Amino acid sequence: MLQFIVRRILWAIPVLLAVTFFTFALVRAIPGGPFDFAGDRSLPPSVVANLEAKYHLSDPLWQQFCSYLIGDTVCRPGDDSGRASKGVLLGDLGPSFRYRGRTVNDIIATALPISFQLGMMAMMLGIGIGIPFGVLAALKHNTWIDYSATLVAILGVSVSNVVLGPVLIWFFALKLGWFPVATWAAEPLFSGIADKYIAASEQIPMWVNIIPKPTVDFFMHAALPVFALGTALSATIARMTRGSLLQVIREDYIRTARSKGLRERAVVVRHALKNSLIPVVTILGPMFAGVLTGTFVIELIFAIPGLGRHFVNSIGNRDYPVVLGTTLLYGVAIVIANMLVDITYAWLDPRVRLE
Amino acid sequence: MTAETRSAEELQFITRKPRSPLTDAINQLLQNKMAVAALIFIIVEVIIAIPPVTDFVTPFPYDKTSLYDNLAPPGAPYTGRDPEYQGKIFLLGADYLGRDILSRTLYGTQVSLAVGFIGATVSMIVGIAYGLISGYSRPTIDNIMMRFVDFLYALPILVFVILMQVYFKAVARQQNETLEPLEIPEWFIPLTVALFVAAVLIGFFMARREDGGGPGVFLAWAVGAFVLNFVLFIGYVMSTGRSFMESMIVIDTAMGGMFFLFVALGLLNWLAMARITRGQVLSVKKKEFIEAARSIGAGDRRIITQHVLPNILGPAIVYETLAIPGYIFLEAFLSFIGLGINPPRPSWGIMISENVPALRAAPWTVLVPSFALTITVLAFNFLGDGLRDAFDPRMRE
Repeated sequence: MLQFIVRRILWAIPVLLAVTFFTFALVRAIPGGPFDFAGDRSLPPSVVANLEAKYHLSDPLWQQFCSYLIGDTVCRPGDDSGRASKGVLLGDLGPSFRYRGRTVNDIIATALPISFQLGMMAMMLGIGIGIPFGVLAALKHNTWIDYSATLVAILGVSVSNVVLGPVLIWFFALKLGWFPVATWAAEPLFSGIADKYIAASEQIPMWVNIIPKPTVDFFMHAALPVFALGTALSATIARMTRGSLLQVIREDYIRTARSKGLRERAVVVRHALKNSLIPVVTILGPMFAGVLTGTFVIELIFAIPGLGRHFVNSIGNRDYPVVLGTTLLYGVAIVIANMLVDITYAWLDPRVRLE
Repeated sequence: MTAETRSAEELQFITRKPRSPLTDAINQLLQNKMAVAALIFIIVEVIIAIPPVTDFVTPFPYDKTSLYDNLAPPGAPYTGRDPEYQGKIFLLGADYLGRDILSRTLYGTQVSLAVGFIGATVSMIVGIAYGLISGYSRPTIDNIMMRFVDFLYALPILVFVILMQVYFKAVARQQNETLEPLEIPEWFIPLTVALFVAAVLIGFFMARREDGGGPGVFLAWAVGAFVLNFVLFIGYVMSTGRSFMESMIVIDTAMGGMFFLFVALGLLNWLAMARITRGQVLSVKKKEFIEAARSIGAGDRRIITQHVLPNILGPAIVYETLAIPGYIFLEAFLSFIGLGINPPRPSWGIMISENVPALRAAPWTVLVPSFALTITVLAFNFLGDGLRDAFDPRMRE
């Protein structure tokens, strides 16, 4: 098992390097630079040249990539500007071109917790509704419970969050007025710590922002976006669970377990459910990627200041370091999620390890 | 009449022509009411999406604006000055520029269906070709090819699709200022359609021949026709003196921004298909009937078209039908964030995103395309589920 985990981690290294390289190449290949326009006016060429020199955009591309990856101290010896970057490998994602004076790390530290809360709650909703209903539908196979659950699930997977977001806002926020229309209302749980940083006018570290205070206001704001993001997930999981449990329940070892006199509950929980969750686990990886991209749409529709909105906006602004930083973050998140899924899979099904 | 011949006649009476798995599956599918209803719905949509038919059934062109009628409610009459549209009504209302929602939604069908079907076709062709090559190669090459697929699987593909779309869009916008728009001669489209139909028909009759038949041959001919058409088209555009990249850009502009969407979709979604195909090849290769076929002198080509392709066909169709909703969603998503179809061409994603600001005043502008998107994807999901059950013998009886 340990060998398997180590192998998976080693496999992730070239993947992450490739993500960095491809993103860097693609972003730089896009015509139009970050300093083409300031507001509505275009800048004089001399100013653009100065700005580009300041951010080292006039260096050869390979040197810029090298600086980005392992830092100015290695790739630009003799740099005395006093703003030498430490490189991505040491966790320095560089300055933002558009938000002057802010680093990409700052932007991520404020935006990521919001996207994280949104995504996590949607995943929890998906698993919390999907698995019980899938199991229920499979156990009551060919009854009205099964039929209605299947119908609701197929409806759920057919509704895109591009559709669900506006429709939920229209019905629950505008017509009924039950929920606020937009924005996010998370306060840090440890507000004392956050206040200390604010008093010292310093950037609040990410871990302080990540756990929200469970206020009514927070949940009222979160309800619609989380539901918009989580519906498709719960429907997918419910379909998957139902299908796989139906298959497992026909297996010989289930009949054996029944015929040796085990109680039905033990048969279902200990024998059937554990085995039927194996295929469900495998889709959690792609699902996680789906949640990430779902946050792009949901954050745009609900005007939530999360990372997805920054990603989409920074592409338009040609804010290279923000695009690179957020893409890399998504890459790392997806690679880690896939790794965890593989490891869980190997733990549930020992045959996988031997491959 | 001797005893032998009589028993032979009786035998002929008892035995019937063996049904292929494909016929079995189709019979099974036709018993599934929801799947048949979905299939009929999709066929109707496809007919509506054929460009001359769309022009005929829609009351207004998709880009006909009427500023007197902005955000007109459903059923409101046209109050503009254009004599051609006098007396027409906005059945499902109008958007913020006074464009008819019904017409735009119907035109949006073209985009979603094209993205769904072409995305599925391209990823199927690339995936099957890759899987066949990988499965038939020596183990070392097979291993390398499959490691490459594993590697691509691990990448955050959708983020790359977004970046690629930004790149294509920016290049197209930059170059379009200098490039002349593409003019397709009138004879070109009928010619390509005729070529395609001819190839499909030849494939159909080849497949029904006594000895050289099978759905594999048919599939090979249809795919060949598709690829040939594609190459012909690009060749024609390049023959007008444009470079390869310039040709791509003018084609994309002529298609309203759909072409690069197809490229991005097709290039990134063939991985699962390649894995399925390779798995089938490996499992079929070991079967006794392949050994038997080899021992009577069948070559690789015959084994692939006769034995391997028919075995892949079922899983491939099921997989791609269930993947179509994903392609349609991706188009809606990309259009929603402004990276899909070029306005003023309507797509359901664009319609939703540009009308969301009017959600409070004119909800129908958002609800109609939303409904169209949902019901279409629902139909593909019902059809896909039906196909999966039909092709899976375990679900019979």
